[in-house]
Amino acid sequence: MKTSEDAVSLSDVVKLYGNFVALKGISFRIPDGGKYALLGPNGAGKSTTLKLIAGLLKPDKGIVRVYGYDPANDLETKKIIGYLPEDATPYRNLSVRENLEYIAALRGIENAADRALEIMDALKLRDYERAKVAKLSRGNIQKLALALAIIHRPRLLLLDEPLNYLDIPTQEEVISMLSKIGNSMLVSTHIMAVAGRLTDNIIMISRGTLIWQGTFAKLKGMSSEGEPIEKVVARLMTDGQVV
Amino acid sequence: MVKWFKLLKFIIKTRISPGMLAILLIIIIYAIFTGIGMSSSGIKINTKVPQYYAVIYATFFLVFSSFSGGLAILKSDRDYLFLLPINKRQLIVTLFIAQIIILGSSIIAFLGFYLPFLGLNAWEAVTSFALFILFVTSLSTYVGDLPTGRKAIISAFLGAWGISPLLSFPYSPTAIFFGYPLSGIFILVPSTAVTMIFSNKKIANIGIEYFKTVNKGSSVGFKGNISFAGHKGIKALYYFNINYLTIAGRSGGIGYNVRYFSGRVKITKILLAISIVSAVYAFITIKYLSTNANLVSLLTSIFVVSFIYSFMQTSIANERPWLAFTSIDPGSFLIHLSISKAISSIIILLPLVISDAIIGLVVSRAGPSPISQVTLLIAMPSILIISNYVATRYSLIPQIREEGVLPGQMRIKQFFFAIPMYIIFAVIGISAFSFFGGLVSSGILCLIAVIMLTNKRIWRKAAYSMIDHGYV
Ligand SMILES: Nc1ncnc2c1ncn2[C@@H]1O[C@H](COP(=O)(O)OP(=O)(O)O)[C@@H](O)[C@H]1O
Ligand SMILES: [Mg+2]
Repeated sequence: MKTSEDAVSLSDVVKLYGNFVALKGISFRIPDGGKYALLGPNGAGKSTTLKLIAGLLKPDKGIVRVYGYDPANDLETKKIIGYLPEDATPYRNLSVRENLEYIAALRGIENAADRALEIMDALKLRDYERAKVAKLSRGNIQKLALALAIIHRPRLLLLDEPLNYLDIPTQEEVISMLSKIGNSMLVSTHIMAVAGRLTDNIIMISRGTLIWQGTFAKLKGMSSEGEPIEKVVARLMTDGQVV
Repeated sequence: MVKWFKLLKFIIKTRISPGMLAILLIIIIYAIFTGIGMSSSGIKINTKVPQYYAVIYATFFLVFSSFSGGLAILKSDRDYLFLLPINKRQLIVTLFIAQIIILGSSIIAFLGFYLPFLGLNAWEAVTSFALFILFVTSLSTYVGDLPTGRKAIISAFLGAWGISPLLSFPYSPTAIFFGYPLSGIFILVPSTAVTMIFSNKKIANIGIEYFKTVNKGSSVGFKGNISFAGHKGIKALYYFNINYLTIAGRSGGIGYNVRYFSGRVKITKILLAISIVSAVYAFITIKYLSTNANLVSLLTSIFVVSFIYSFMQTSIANERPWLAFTSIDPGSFLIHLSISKAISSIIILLPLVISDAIIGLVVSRAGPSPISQVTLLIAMPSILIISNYVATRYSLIPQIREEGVLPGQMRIKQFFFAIPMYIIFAVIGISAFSFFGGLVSSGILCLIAVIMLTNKRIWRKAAYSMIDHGYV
């Protein structure tokens, strides 16, 4: 098996904030085209994991690879990765359209203005194109942030709690749009239902360690009659079984 | 009463870190004891340098606490404190008292250092400091809520009034720091009374709106549209950051518009405003202050530079690493961002330097001349680059993410943010006495900046450090 064909591979990754060990040696891989959910309670280390894969942080130990490249050093990964952080806020001193054009231009995309229009249409942001980001509703800010994360058509999407702040109809819009995009995806969430809608594989972490990994179907199979899937997850997390 | 003290303690704790509090206390104790020691031993100090510093700092407090003033509201206040079942009026009054204590102890910490050198007796010292603290706090509470234009005019007036004792005008709130304790107190009493009345009125009229963010009146869209057509990659960064200045700060204190603002101003607008101010400055100096031209130019430079520095440096709080650092090399991004700021600072400083040159030529006398302030054109961009590195590497400036709230506590390291500004004050001072000395010192700064810029690795480290410290 060639690792370079994996969209993401982490081996024995440790990350510290000061003296606090946020990730205690995590390993997993996501094959090209795989749609994975990163599941875990608050503080588990989901956001930290995504920042490492996005190349925004460097691991203190271990190896992070994205299509064979080191995201913290290889500039090639800037084109491959699309990253949406938790509670994302775009540039507040730019309008919706300017944000999109600026980032497209910074990325060196050929027809930045056209691309901005196209993506605003897809996410129904045209009505707000000249609006100051500071004046947008939280839901529209989230849509703009998503647009910014995918403007360069990345092969790997890293989404941190992507459906936060969206109302139900908008959630549906975003889910259908994301499921049309045929690329590899790692979605962090603490909500089971979100994982089920967007992905088919699950990586579960708790307190900085991996505790379970498998398909969504397998996780469903592990639940006894009528038991909600959240309970299975809770059981796995408290058991802390390393699989 | 016990409950109220608990509330006050809680508010103060959320606003200031224990380390910072300790430092403030140490400096306050130092000031009191050396003050007592010196006045009892009868030592006389023959230099006026500390007094110059004290007046400049005091003016600084006056101008900044009114321009970016208002009652400090934190994100945690909105998420937690305002939801508690506490009488709102009592809460507001407590917030105000907490502000007096915090602003007051920072004032004592900054100015108390000079207290031993000011030649005040104990009675004068206590009265004048207490009045000055009340004046600044109530002034900022009131003025901070006014529209930006009016605030700017008031701040400019306060700036001029604040440094006026240096030009032998004794009727100023800062005169207490320059050997005019009686006239200083004489002016502080009515001024403080007026600002206290105004701010108390304001506090009394605060309704429940205070506890929500209400964006009233400000427009929903920007006036012009920035088009990035034809600017690809780093060019887009330069295009945006040189043509527009991002300013960040607190605006609007109490009432409807509590917010931590960030906006953009076209550089041509700033250039126009600074040109007008510089022309007025040159005219007044030549016409009325020609005998003191060198001192006036020194003070004006300090004043302008501190404004430019504060605004340009805090703009890092508006950066978005999740967008910028995932689009291009984080090291390159920070390097070019710093260079673009350096270039903007040169553009903005040009009118001032030209005015200085004109003054120098017209009021030509033997000895040092205002012309030597031309060194600012080297020193200012260099120090901006250096401080940009320091501020990102050690995360001195918290990111502004949400409209309406302060990012968090006052911490010790935010003190360091001001250090580069004192370095540039020093260059201004050196230049005022010796052009050659100014040239050498700004040359050294330039050399350091260039060495930094050629080392991409350190900027990458700074980028990772920003993320480690919570920038998103
Ligand atoms: N910038 C930071 N500085 C210090 N500690 C942090 C920082 N970011 C996260 N942490 C800590 O690391 C742990 C994991 O955080 P995070 O990755 O955000 O978890 P999750 O996204 O699963 O909620 C938490 O205990 C959090 O408090
Ligand atoms: Mg998270």
